[in-house]
Amino acid sequence: MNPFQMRPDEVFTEIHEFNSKLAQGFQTLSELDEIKVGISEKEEVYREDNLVLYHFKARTKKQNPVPLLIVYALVNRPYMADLQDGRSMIQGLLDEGVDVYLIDWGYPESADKYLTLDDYINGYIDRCVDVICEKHNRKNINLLGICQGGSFSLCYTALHQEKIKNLITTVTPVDFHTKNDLLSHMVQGIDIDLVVDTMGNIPGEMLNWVFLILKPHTLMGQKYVDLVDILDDKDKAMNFMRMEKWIFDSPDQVGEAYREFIKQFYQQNGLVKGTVKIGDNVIDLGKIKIPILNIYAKDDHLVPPDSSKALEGCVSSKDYQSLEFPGGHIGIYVSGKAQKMIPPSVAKWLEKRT
Amino acid sequence: MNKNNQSPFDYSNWAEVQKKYMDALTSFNSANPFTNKATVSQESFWVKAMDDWWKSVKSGTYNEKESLFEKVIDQCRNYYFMSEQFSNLIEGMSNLKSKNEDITSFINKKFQEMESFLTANQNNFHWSNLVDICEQPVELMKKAISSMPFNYGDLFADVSPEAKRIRDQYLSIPGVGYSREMQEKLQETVRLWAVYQDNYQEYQLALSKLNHEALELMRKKILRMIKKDEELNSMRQIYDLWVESNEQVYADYVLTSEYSDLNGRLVNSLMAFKKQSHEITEEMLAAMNMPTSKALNTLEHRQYELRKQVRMLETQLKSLQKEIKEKNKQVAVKTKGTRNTTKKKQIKKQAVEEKSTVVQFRPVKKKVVKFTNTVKKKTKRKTKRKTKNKSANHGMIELKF
Repeated sequence: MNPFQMRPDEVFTEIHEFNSKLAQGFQTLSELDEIKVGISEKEEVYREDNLVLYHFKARTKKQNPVPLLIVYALVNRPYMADLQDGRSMIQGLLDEGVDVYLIDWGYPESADKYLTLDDYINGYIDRCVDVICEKHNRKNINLLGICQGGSFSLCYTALHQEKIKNLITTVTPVDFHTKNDLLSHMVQGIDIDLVVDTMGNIPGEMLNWVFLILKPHTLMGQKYVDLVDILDDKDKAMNFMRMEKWIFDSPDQVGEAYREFIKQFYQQNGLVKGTVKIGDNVIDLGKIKIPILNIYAKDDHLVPPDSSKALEGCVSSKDYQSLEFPGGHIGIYVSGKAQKMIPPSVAKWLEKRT
Repeated sequence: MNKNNQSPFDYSNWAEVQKKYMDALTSFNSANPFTNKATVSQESFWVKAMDDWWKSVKSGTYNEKESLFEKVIDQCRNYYFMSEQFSNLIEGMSNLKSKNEDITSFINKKFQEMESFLTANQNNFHWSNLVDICEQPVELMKKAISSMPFNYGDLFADVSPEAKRIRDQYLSIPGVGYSREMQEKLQETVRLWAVYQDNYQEYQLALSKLNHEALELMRKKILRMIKKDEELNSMRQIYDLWVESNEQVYADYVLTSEYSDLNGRLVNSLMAFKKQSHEITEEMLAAMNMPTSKALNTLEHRQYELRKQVRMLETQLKSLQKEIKEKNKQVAVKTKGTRNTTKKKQIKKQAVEEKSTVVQFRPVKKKVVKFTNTVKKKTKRKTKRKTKNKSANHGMIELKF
């Protein structure tokens, strides 16, 4: 049978409609308001260099007494977890009675280029944990890591377990040498020392480009053709613009920390091999005994599920649980499906362990 | 469309459809009352119409929304172009009988034509640039070296054999005289640029090969669809199939060690070139007694160390303050305890004194009185006991107070 079941007039109608949508879409875009992101009410509780620790305002009367600190990645901005009303993991957690704190790493400057992973993990994160503990008069808190922030959370927990009650990792790379890890494959042949010595801090747009070329035809082509279909709907267009803003809002990467992360994690796969060194300490994931909830995305093209799932074999926690989300790396935070699944699961899991 | 209609083009008047389509092109203008009339070329209907429309509506100034729309336009251009190619294929298929063998051989033939066209127009055919995966790194790399004071010409253009010859001649000239070192450094920069150029061309070639492979994969997928009686019902489905094929071929290639090596060489050679250029700039700035980035790096590193020390001292200070506070608390508790004991002793002493002069006894405080009473009783008991004991001492002298 002829697979092309189209009449010429149908083809032309299709293109005609596409043309009209495209033209109308330009008008819709021109009429859109300013793009606002980060919707949940929050207050600054601690500030150090570019880092700001935020505490989100409760949305329920009854709250989990153990606060939850979200550690975001150094890549892109953390408002992805609080993008818009109804598409916010943070809002979902607040609605479930979780007391949420978030680390915003800010935009590093040239003077920050010597900051190491030790400064981030044993410095910034540790001081934020101390601030929260002191504020709540507690000895430990819950920790949730996002992507690279999840890897940092694992390192932190391995070194300061007494301060963490429960650990949640979301789309977190653990095994950096899984078979289908495109990102890992791309960086294997790169001389990171040369790159950092030459560039200092790594420009955010360079990193952005790396993420885009993981799926170039989809992310740089098809996405914009598909956009035409939704441009007649202002709300949908606004949602697209918010995501677009987030994707291209890429802070520069601190040179030294980048060097350590790419070499030790991506090139040497040190997290599973137990060779990652943060300051003077070697990270042994086997030391982690606290309860862990590991959430990964089934269709993640940045952090393959196998990379996250490897965590189970590395830690000693008897209370280990994993959760598969049927979607991608970003969808796990912003999709409608995720709102119904992720925050309630996290809140329930925490409540049982409080 | 009706599946039973085996020859969908039979009843269509092609000329009429073309006319309809030309009308459709005006849809761009009808959507925006402020646009000028676009000139539509008969040669490239869809792309040309869109380009003309876009020229007439864009403001020309940079803004976030127009920048986004520019990306949309670029990709729509590719979508239209691809649709045109497949329209021809679909049109040709209208004359075929419905036998699978005929369809298969026709599709094979058409894909072969596309493949040949792609090969013949390797450098300027925009099918090979449907997604600018080659252009993107170039833009970034241009930015990466944009701070350099030298004009190296168009580093990213293809190097002609003549240019290569001149370049190699330049590189073979030995450095002489007072500025020999600088000459050698400049030669090294050009050499590094040449290495980068070679790697970049190799990278471009590798990616362009993927376009051919993707087209081949797409053909296979369409042939599989014939066997499975699956159908494509819109141009968008064809486009999506093309994207899927490209993505699959690309991902497979990225996972090879060949790509890892090539990508590594590309980035490393660019960085080596940039570093070398940077060093020359530094030398020139230093010669003019201007601040260099090396000097700034030193300052920033010292500042980093200082920040670290300050933080360490702050932590130590905080812990010392905490320790002092704790100790002060302990001291306060001890002092309180000692003060109580001393007070008790004083009161006891006072009570004994007062007992001896009973007449002068005055209760000062309720608490003290109670305590004093106890003491008083105790004193009485003690006295009695003493008296008793004394009384028991027969023949001894009895003392009376």
